[in-house]
Amino acid sequence: MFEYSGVEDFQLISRTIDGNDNAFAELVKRHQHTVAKTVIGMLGPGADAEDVGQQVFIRFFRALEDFRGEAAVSTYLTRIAINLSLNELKRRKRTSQFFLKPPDNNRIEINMADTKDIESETDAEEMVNKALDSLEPKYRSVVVLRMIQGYSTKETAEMLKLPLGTVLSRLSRAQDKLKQILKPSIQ
Amino acid sequence: MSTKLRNLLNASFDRELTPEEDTGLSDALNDFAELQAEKNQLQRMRGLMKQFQPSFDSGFSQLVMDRIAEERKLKSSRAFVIAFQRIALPLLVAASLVLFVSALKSGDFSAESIIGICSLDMENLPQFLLFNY
Repeated sequence: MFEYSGVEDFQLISRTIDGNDNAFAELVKRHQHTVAKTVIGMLGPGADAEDVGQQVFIRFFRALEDFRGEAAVSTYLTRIAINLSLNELKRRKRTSQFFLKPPDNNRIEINMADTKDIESETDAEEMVNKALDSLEPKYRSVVVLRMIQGYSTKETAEMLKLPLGTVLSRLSRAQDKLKQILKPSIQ
Repeated sequence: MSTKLRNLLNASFDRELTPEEDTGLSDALNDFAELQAEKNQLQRMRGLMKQFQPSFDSGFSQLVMDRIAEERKLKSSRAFVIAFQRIALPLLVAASLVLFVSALKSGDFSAESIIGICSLDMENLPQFLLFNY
């Protein structure tokens, strides 16, 4: 396996276009955690998120020759991830309406009364998963981009193609709701 | 504590406050312990969100690369089909034109004149193929 630690993303892209799949494997390795934060943040852990995560990289692979480098690769991938995740949520909603039962999206149910302190990373992840699941997709997406991925409010608005005011308003409402859900852990 | 102050506190995390808003909020944080406590909660909540570091299953990147390999195969076979069509179709058109022009010149559009095979009875076909080809 070749060592690519000193190689920039755009060089890896060139090499992939030239037929070097090891270069693309390095891109996947570098950016899968970024994609995971977005996709799992939006969909919860499970097979759906794994599949959507793979589709993010497949889409990226197909679009490599059109990639101009105007945005960082991580930002480009996050945009794809958010769009595919929102599509998946719409699909789940249609499916649940058709079958008249809520979809199993693998969010973990936690009895908040039993959980006072966050003792481990797993606890934190479970808490956040539950909290995110309580949000509608339009609030979840701004929370994932702004609070989890750390994009600025302006970058979040650009990625979601929303006015800045809308993003600020959604963040404010999401924050209030998250505070309620996570109260036992943050008091 | 007013809704306006609470909204300002929320907003302070996501946008730059005007100098007046900033002063107003700072004063309110000094004056109202409840507001300061809420700010601390929001900071803890945001810290918790930043701790969210999920990951895909361990075989994730291999699954992606397997799908990439499939994509490459599909791309090559599509490229082959397109290349074949680009070469074979013009050749077919050219051959058809040559045969048509030839038939036009001879004034004879029979199968014998176009492809050079005498009229055959079907029962003579096996012998014909055996002796001629």
